[in-house]
Amino acid sequence: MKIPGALVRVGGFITSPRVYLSIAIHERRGPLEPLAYVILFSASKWGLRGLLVAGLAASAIGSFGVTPLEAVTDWAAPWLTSLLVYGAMAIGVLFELFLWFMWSLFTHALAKSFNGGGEYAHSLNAVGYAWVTDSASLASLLVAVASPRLALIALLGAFVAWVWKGVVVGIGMSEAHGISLGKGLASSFFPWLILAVVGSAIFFLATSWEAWWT
Amino acid sequence: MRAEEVAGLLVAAILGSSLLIALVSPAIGFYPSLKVEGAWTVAWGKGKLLASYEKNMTEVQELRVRAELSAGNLRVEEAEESLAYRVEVYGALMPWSSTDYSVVEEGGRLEVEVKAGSVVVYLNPSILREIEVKVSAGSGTVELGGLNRTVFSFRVSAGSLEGTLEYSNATSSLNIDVSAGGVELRIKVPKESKVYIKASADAAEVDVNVKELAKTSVSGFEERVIADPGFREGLVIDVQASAASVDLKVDR
Repeated sequence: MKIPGALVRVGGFITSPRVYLSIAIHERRGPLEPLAYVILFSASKWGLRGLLVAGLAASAIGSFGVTPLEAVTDWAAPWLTSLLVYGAMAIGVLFELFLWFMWSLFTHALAKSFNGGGEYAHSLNAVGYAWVTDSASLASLLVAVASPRLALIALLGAFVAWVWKGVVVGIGMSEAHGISLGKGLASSFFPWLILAVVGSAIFFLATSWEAWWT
Repeated sequence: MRAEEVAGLLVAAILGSSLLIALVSPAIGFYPSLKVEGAWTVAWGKGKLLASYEKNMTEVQELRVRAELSAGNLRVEEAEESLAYRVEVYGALMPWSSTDYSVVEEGGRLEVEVKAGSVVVYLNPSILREIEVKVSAGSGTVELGGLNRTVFSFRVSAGSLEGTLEYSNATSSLNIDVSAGGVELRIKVPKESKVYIKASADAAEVDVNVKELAKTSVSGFEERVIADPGFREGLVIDVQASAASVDLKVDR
């Protein structure tokens, strides 16, 4: 059986990311394929998340037997669930496209500061290809949807996928810019570290301000 | 087959099925369901036993009960033959909520009031003449058999009540008043007993199923009487539901 090249490439980003990212980047492929990865994986991921949240919320309302809420959900469930799931898909795709753009921008700047030699298009592609690692998140979401008692496994899957994605982005940056793997990983994870520090600082300032104000 | 081919097919299968489920599920009305049995008990918990009160049959001849619960879980069950009643009050599991309760019995009149907790009331049906159960923001379960001319009154607001009442003599009355809640009740009466049901719905749905008489639904803003022909004496049920649902089944 002949497997299409695109599927082999997807598998290759998982089994041998260094080899396949090196090929994909140096073949100077356009951003269409990574764009498709980001859209397809984020649409599926946020769709399943929306489905899980809608199901669990309706179950919680039903479990408490509070009839008006239950009646509202019974009556509104079809369109409310559709709105939640398709809305989550649409907003999720837009959010992850923005995330892809911002992550590649910051990681590219960091790679450049490590004397990286690649172009921005290389960084954009390297980060986009890494979206295949969301298959871990999708697998855990499928388990959670099939068996909602295991809903927490979706969080574990999301965390595993995020770390894995960071590692694949690091490998991709190392290949795209000709920098060491350590520098590639640093340029991949550093933006998140900065985001965490800035986020914590904003939270700290906001809570201090609120305490001072009150 | 090479490792990347297997991985590629696996990813395609995961991605394809995820996308298909996410796109099709809302259209066909499927979403994952996880109903928690006794959710109010889970939410408010059944903490440690705070207090218990009981009296024997030798001390009480007739029993009139009023049990009121706000936020929590209430169970009414049959007591052992030798007991007239037993009340067990349990605290809430949530550390920030305290359980206020009062249990008073005087001259066969038992009054139980519990806020934010769980209470189990065991009653001897043979001496039970009257019982009023009021549940707000919580759930109640009533399982009583051998009832003899016992007058019932259920008031439920923003909560749920379910249970089974089995009469040995069904010459009595049962009032159900539900607002913003749900009631599911199974009633068993002797075969020869007659039944008269008046159901009023105010933005509500009342499903009534009386064996060998009628199976009907009173919904919206409607009032209906369902009665055995030539009813003169028997079990009179008055249901008033407002923004609520009632499922009433009478077996005989």
